Amino acid sequence: MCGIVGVTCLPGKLETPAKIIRKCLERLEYRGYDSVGLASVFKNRIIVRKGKGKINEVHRRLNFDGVPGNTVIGHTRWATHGAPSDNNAHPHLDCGNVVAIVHNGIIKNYLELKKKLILKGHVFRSETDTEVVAHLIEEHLSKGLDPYKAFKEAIKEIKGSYAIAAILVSEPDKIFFAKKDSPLIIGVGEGFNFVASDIPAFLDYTRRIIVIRDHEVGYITPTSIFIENLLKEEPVDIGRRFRIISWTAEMAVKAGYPHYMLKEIHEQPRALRETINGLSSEIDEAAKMIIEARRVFIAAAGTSFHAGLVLDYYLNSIAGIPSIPLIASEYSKYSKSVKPGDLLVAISQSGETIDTLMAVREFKKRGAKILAISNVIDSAIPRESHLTVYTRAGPEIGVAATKTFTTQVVVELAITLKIAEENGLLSKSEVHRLKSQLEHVPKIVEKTIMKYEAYVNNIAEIIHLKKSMYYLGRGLGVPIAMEGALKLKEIAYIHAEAYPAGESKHGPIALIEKDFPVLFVVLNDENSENILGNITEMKARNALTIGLIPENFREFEEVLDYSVKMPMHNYILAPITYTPILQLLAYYTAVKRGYDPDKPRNLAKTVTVE
Amino acid sequence: MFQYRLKAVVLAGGKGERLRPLTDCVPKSMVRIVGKPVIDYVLEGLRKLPLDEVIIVLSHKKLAKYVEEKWSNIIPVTTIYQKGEGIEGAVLTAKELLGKQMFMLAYGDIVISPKAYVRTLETHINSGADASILLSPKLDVESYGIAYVSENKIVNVKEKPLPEKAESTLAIAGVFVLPPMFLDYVEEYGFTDALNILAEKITMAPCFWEDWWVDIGYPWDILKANEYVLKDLKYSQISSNAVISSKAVIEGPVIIDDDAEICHYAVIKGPIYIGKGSFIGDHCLIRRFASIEENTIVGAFSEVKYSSIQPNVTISSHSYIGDSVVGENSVIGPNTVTLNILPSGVKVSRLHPIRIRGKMVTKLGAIIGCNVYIGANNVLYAGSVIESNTRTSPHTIITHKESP
Repeated sequence: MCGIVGVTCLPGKLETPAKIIRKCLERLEYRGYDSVGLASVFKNRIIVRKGKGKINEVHRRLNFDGVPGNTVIGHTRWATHGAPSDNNAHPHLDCGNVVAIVHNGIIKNYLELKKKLILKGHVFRSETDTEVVAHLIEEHLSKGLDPYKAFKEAIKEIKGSYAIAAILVSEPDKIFFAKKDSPLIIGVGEGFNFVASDIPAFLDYTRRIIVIRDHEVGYITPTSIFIENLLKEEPVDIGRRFRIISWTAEMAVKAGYPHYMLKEIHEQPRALRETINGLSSEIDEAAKMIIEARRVFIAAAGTSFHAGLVLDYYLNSIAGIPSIPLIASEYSKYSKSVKPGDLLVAISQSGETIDTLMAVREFKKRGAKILAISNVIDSAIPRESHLTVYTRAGPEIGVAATKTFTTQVVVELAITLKIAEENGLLSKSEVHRLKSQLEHVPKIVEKTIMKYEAYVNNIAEIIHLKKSMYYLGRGLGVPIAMEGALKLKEIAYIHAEAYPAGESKHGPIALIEKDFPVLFVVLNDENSENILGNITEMKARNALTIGLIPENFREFEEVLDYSVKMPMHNYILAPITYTPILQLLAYYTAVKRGYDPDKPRNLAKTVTVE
Repeated sequence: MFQYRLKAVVLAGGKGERLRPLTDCVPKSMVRIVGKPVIDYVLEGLRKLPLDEVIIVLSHKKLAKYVEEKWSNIIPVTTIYQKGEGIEGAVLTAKELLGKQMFMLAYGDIVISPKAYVRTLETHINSGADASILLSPKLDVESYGIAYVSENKIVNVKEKPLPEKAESTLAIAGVFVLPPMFLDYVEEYGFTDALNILAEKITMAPCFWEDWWVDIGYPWDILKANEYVLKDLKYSQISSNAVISSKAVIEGPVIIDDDAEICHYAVIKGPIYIGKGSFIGDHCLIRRFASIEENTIVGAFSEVKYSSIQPNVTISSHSYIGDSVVGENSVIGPNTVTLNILPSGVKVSRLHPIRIRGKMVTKLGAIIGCNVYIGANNVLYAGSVIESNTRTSPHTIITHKESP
């Protein structure tokens, strides 16, 4: 996902259009934030300023506000094709610097087009799919087509999804646009017009909008708008398409969800699917690194640490490889014994977590190899690692990690299955069977969320009045319980403690009194009988018991006060299928307590101070 | 050059069968929730939107009169009497007035924050979807329309599925943005199938509602709606025209409306509502989500909790009214007691057991219709229903149902 925006205005109508575009880009930062840039037409040439980094960082370096011109386009990027870099940042230019393009989406046939264009002598400066559009327009211009025709012909040649805005030197007061499958909206002003990926981008300047539909192309000038349907080649009657936004549209960016967190919980089926589809040769290389390692350490913080504990479980009990999980900030305890041949698996959603980065540096200095799992292409930890496997969860805005946890587990499971296959602990057919179950996981998660959202909301109604809660599990259930407890602490501000259920008798059960809530994570594994005993002992002390149980565990249902029945599947998938339920529980509890789950107090999305 | 055309239809017709006997003398949308008829909650949401016309489909003169008097100066309302039966009949009544434009559809019996209406239209416009529906999780799938969402699109809609067969728990919360072709489909296939055809043919976007909302279907939904509305009270509002004894105790957020009178030693524990011109006698206890609508009298030493007392009711002294709904113009004799714990194992649609001191219990008192006269010293069993216009003798024990 990326964000695009453009404005064209009559001279003097808007003060410093480039500055306005920078402000619009800040509003679009939720759509991506690994690089940013803008371009304007000024005195018969195109001026481009772009670079890798967040908007404020790049602005400090390049001073966006100083770019002259009354027609400006901008872009904020979330890398898909080509790592974040100054070159890969948008806008992209053609060979003759007469066209600048910003694009959100994926052009599927770009490799084929790029080859053709290179044969015709075009020189490419980036690894992006977007750049082909600039060169295609240049190609059509050189055939003598007028600018708008050239733009249209270029759009006809590309396949995939796109929202595109283009400026041309020869048409200094026009922004050309096209849309298919990615959002694009026109903001209608007096003496100026905007295009953008969403309404909030330009809401400070106008409240009159037109939503562009698929297969529509056209252009805006400061005083006019032209839209036509590319398939029918007929102009659109824009009079009927105007809408007025008479309220603040902060909601709009969350695609119909009240909070980013709920959106991201619901987005998990898609994030999981994209991560599964994106699994590639890096998995094999990662498996090889782990097999060849003398010792395997796993370092991470927060939710990623829980994903680390899942990996620890997978490696030990499926792949037969002992591992040492550690909380990243405690690395110095372990690093003193590190020697060449050791491996550190560093897990960080942002790739910038300072504690994990420090661990990476220290381990590397002592000769260990580094394998990173991250969601942000080419971020600090991946850059300093020998190999990175990326999750494809897309940008995560909610401070409480949701979809990045479940996608991290997908990557870990894929690596584990590869190792188990290599070292013969699992037969080829077993691996095949598990892989096909993994393929079904996105659908299972979707169905589970659909089926239990109301029930979980109902449990939250009870939990939200409590001061304290336990989350218990055994085996692989422990990291799931820990993740559930962390979510409740983070956003609902209820004290929650997670520990292996067997530990109850050694202390924590002393705190149990009437109606003390205890949540059990029950898996379809060898621990189920023992955990039933734990439930009964809590019940005997009048605790309020809640369980996530496999759906045919009837005897559990009878004992528990509330049970969420999970679909039957191999228990090793549970971190992916169970966790969304615990995320929803924390979410609805926070909402009922009147807190904003997207902005938990005292917490930052990416922790960059030790 | 600006054309902005959006009309809204509010479905406020029908008999309100499930809400009987309360709907014997008032239409469903006129039932009071914390000082306002249900329809006000809908229109307060719609007035925040840029609407050309709000078409209210209704069946009662009382409602038409109320809407025209109270709302016609505020929003462009048109009232029209429902022609056909059921939701299809209601929707199609508005067909001609709607023309060939996208429109909003709102159920006339939903109590929800005005923000829900704004969010639905906002989501619709920004997503560029062809239709949008407000969805919110509800446990009792068997009494709602249920939508399944995949990849941020509504894939199908099922009307009141059996709980064991329901694939989703996202209930349709009664706010829609729909294209004109929907009306043609309703005509041919009925309401739910028309939605399913839309889901197949065009993009129907979900808009999520995470906060409370109540569909006023059953009498106990009134109690739930009172609870939610009163829970949201942040501070007390006490009219300067209310007469409150210096000896009365008032705690927690309360609304005490114009000309209400609270006598000596009454204890009022919010959140509660006391309507215009109501009278609370000496030593009364009014507590926990009680909503006492206008011109009601609560006699000395009586207790009212978690109940809805509709307008013009008299509750005589020494009575206990808990978890109950009392219809308009009824009189309850002195020393009347409502029992309010249902026998275990009794299941009531949309009514959920609560945990009290370690035990799960379902609470429901009596449902009393309009113009009822209850004699002195009556005992009303939990879940009993007193039909409108009934008179009971002193010392009657009502276990189940009482008719005139």
